[in-house]
This record gives sequence, structure tokens and C-alpha cells, in this order.
Amino acid sequence: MTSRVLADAERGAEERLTPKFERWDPMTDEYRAGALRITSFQVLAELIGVLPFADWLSRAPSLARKHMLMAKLQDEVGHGHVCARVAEDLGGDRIQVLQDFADGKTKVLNIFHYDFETWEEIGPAALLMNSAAIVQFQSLCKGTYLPYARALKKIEREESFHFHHAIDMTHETMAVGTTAQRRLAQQSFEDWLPRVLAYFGPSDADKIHTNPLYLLGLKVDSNHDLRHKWLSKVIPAINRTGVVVDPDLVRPAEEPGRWIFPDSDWDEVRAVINGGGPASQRRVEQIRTALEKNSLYRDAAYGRAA
Amino acid sequence: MPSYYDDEHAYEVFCQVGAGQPISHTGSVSAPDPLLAWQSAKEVYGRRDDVTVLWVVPRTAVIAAAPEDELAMQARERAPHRQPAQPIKIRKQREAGAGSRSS
Repeated sequence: MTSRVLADAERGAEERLTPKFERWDPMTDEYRAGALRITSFQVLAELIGVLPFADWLSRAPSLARKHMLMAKLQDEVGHGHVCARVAEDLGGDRIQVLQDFADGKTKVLNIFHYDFETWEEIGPAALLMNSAAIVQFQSLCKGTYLPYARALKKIEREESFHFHHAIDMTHETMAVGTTAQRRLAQQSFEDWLPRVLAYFGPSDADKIHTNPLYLLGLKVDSNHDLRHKWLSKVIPAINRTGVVVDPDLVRPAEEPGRWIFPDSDWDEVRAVINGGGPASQRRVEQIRTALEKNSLYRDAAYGRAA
Repeated sequence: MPSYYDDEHAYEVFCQVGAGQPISHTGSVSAPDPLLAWQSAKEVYGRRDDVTVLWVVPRTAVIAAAPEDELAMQARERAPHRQPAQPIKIRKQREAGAGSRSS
């Protein structure tokens, strides 16, 4: 642990978040493994998160939308690269991360196991997913591993563009779309809300204080707290688009900043994560193909015989 | 098998966004050679901002302070005689003490 104690300590931040680490600071094996696991997980999430949207690049309804969708996807790939550098400096390897997924050794978040059936579905889904990611990154970037915190700050600046693009897409459908289009957007919100509620993971309010990643300052907030923070951010944004929020799906609790919603069906979520989603098999194939297609270029670029 | 993504292939990236600003360290990229490193840096770190200066430096070329240098680099606390506060305090003490001195 570094002997440097930064200004955080003077501001009375929790002791657990106070010791900070650069990549060259000595750290325990447990710390290194925890930071590597979190950053490698994000590499996979950023790169695979591109795939449901990439399908629509050739089908965007206007040039402006195509430009913005392309920009978002380039951002996500760039985020994957930025996280890959952080992981690699901890001993990881981006190709291994992808290969492990192609080989079925690792799994991705439930939200990536679905495809978008219609253009109108994308706006509300992207708004829910993107705002969830923003809330999660805002939490993680207060963590103790500084290269990752810096990477997240850079990523967050671009997520703001994605957030407003998603609001705009949803608002456009609800403001000037046909009845059928508005129904698709409304349905999208109702389909995706439970999926993104589950994205934060099972409630851990009672176990967070013994979670090793939490104690090391790598995980900053509990799943439980992040889920509520996310709802406080996204439900007002959804309301402004014209999509109707059914109070039985989610409504504010009496306590400010808290919400009431049905608990996720964790058996179903687990089944989806383990390959039971509509696009689960397709994601594995897409990554396998990408690895094969690019290996020739990569080997040539690095000057190795194939 | 050696990794493609080790320190040998890492380049540190420095950007200036807007003339007159500091040229700041923004992150790193992995690449097989310097020119691809620069292209990669432009793609990964130059998508959004008007970048006026973009440098990539091989990580192996960086000469960095070692952990044992930490104490030697703490200039502010270790060397109060370099700070304006010290002569300001001396003068103020003298002014306060000489209040009774007539011209």
C-alpha cells in the first residue's frame, strides 16, 4: 500500500476508499486480481454492448441517426480499448478476454442477450441501459484504483452524448411517431425495465460490508443503492419523453430517493445469462467470427508468422 | 507466449486540447509500432475534442521516479525556506515587534 494518502482523507471520506493505487504501486495479489476482474469484465461488456446496436447501422431511418449511432458505437469500442489498457497493465489481455467468452468460459450481462426487433425499441432500451451504466461508472470512479477511475471519467464524458441521443430518439417517436410506433416504444420500456433492473445484480444491502471488492474500495456502492440511484435518474427522463410509467412497474417510495418495484425473477435472469436468451448463442458466434477475421491482421501487424 | 499487450508495446499518450493549454497525459495505447500507436491514440483519445497536439511516447522511454525517491520529491513540506510564507512571516513578526520604534 502506498504511503501517500490523498486529500480524500482530509475530506473525511471513508477509510476504505482512502488508500489509492497507481499501476506501479505495490499491491496485494487479491487487490490486483479484483481490479483485473472488474476491468476485464468491462472490456467484454463494452465490446459486446456494441452488437445489438450494430445490426441497425444499415437500417437507421436517416443519415443523422446513422451518424449518431455510428458515433455511439465507435465510442463503445473506444471505451473497450481504454479499459483493455487498464486491464493489460494489471496482467490481462484483451484477446484472452474475448477468447474466454467465445469458448463459453465467461458470461455477459443479461441485457446483451437480446436483439432489437424494431428501430422504435432502441430509444427506450438505450436510455435505460445507458443511464444504468452512467450511474455505475459514477460510483466506480470513486474507487481506489486510479488508472481505472481516470478511464471511467473519460468514458463518462462520452456517455452523456449517448444519454441525450437515446432521449432524443425516444422523444421523437413519442412526439411525432404514428400510433403503432408509439406503442412499440411504450412496449420497449416495459420489456426493458425489468431487464435493466436486474443488471445491477441481486440486492446485497445485507452482505455488502463483507464483500472483498467493497472492502478493497474497488466496488464503491452496493447493487441495492445503485439500483435506486439509477431509478432516480432515469424515471424523470423517461417521463419527459412521453413514455408512460405504469406505477405497478415502478413508483417512488415515501422515502426520497427510494423506489418501489417488483423484485427480479433471478432464476430467469440466471438462465438468460447462462445462454438462454434470444441472442445468447449469436453473441458467442459474433465474437468467434470477429476473432478469426482479425487474427490474420493482428499477427501480421505484430510481425509474427501466422 | 509473450503478450501483444505488455509494456514493450505500450505507448503513453499526451494531448493538448485548445492552444495554450497544458499538454496532458490522457492514457495509453497498445500498438506494434510508433505510427500505429499514434493512429490508435487519435482514434481512442481524439474522437471528441479539438486536439491541437497529440504525442505518443513508448512507455520504455519514460524515465520515472522510483518509490525511494518519494521523500526527495516532497518539496513543499520538506523545504519551507522555498515558500513565500516564510519571509512573509519573518517580516510580519518584525513589523509587529517594531511597532513601538520611533523614527
